[in-house]
Amino acid sequence: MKKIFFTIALITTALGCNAQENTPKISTPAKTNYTYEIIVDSLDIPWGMSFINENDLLVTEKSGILYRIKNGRKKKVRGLPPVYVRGQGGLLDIAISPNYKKTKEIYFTMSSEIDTYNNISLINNSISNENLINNKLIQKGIELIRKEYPFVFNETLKDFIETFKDELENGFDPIEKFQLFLDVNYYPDIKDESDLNQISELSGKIKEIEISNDKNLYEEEKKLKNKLRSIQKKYSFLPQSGKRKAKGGHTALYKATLKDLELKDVKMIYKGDFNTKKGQHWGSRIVFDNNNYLYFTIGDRGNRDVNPQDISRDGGKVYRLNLDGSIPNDNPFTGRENVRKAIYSYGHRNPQGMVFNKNTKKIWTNEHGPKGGDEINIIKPGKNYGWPIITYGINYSGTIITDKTSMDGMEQPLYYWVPSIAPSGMAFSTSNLYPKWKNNLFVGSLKFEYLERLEIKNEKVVKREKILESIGRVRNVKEGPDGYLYLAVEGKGIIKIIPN
Amino acid sequence: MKFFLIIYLVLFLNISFNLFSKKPIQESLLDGQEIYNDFCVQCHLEDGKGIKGIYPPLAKSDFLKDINQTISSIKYGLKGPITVNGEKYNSIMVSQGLDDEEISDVVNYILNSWGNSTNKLITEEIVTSIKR
Repeated sequence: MKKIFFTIALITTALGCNAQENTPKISTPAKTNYTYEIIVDSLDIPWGMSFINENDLLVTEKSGILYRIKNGRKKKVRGLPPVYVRGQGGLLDIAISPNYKKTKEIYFTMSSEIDTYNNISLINNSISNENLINNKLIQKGIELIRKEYPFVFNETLKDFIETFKDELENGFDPIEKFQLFLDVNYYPDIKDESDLNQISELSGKIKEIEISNDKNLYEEEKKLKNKLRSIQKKYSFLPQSGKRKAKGGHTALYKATLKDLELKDVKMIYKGDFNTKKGQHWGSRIVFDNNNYLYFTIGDRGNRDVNPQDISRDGGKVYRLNLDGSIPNDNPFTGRENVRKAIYSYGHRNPQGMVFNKNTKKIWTNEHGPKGGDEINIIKPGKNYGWPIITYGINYSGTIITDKTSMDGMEQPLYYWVPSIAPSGMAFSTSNLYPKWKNNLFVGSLKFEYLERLEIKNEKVVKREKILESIGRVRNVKEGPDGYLYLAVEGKGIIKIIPN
Repeated sequence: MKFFLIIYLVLFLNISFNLFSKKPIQESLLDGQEIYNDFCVQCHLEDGKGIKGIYPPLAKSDFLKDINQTISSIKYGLKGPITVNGEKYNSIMVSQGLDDEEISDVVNYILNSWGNSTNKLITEEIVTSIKR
């Protein structure tokens, strides 16, 4: 009996702790000495942004669009590889290379369904620089085909363009032509003449019914389809289903050269394995330190019990690479067998904010935790940040994940948010434009729709304040090359904070 | 001749393989629940009640009366002002990238949970037929 009371008391205490706001409590300033300006409007989910200079900005839209915004004018950049938009995934972060002025190289992360593990696809090399496809209609056609057939080989595409150049230039449906091309060139003959006749006859009838859209013929259509299917089954080389089903994916890191409004030499330099249909926790952020190392994040991909603590698998990690995509010799796990050598730290849930602290030369991240478990971490090589073995949070359903908040060999967060603010984006203010905010940390809150300002002393958060309350879901925050703070707000656009 | 016949035949291939097999409702509900917990629960919450003024409810929601609109908003996303159970919402829900079968499953789950009920079974075919 005593035991039960004790347990109840423990649980109540645990829940009580979780319900209480972690200190320091967030404050709302009585008076503000700043205003804001929307410098880019009409964006749905502006995930990543990277300044080429103060009047030239790259912004990713999660749905799979890359914008270049020069002097306030927003234009699409061509040449992205196929984006796998699923759940929280899509086109994610973007960052220009530290050597951008010389190389024009950029990096971006995105969800990809390319099956790198089974290696059934060539990694997308841009073929858009070939003379053959200067024509706009052909370019458009290739984009459409890449979307529909992300696994297609470049050789196949080139073959196709050569064969169907005239048709494409004259505006024929590229998908239809490509299907035709695949079928004629890549399927062997059907030897049985009567099967052939039957298939074409049935296909014709079904098409007529589909076009007529007559509901009375619905049963008839079904019968025809079943008959057709039974014949098709004899020929395994025929597609047995015309619908593209979700295949699953993982976060990929790409490198490309930016030429005005086009990406060239697009190269995948890292891809998480193994693909999964889960919609959650793709990360992702990209930053560089002052030694030309690239860091990027991938979330646990909805498999918390396996991925974050297993360094032979991807997901729930911070990674470190050289600028060319190779793995630095002194990465923490390079000497070990059967590990992902690009891993720099592990035990993360879903880091969507990352920044290089120029003062301390350390990488800082924030991550979405479970309910009451969002964290700020300082990333150290080879360290385990504990998810899901230790956490301050509980499941959103209210159930307990673990009763441990700390353990030997696992890192403690610099700060954890209770309640969770759903943090995304991270920046320090290092300029002198906002004197009272100098060296403060800024984090976007998706959930409470403000920008959070955190004062930090000796690696402790001493003050938290709401900036631009009710502005909308703050997806990202960056300090521009001009020293101003820029926010990416969902459904709004890019916002510049202007001191009075 | 044979070559042309093949061309003729393959022109129709891609539209003639949508061969649906009816999925039992119990299976669809289970699959739908999994999809819901993966893709929807963060905003609309476990009890389907959402958050007043921010994320509209699905539990006993009058928005669901228009099934086509429900399917379309999951398939293509939804943006702009709507009124649900008398409460105004003006936000954005982006397409989650679910395939048609997954959408049919999750709609079946939503239409039969938290006090919602319907006799109508949403099939993959119905979802396929819904245009933007």
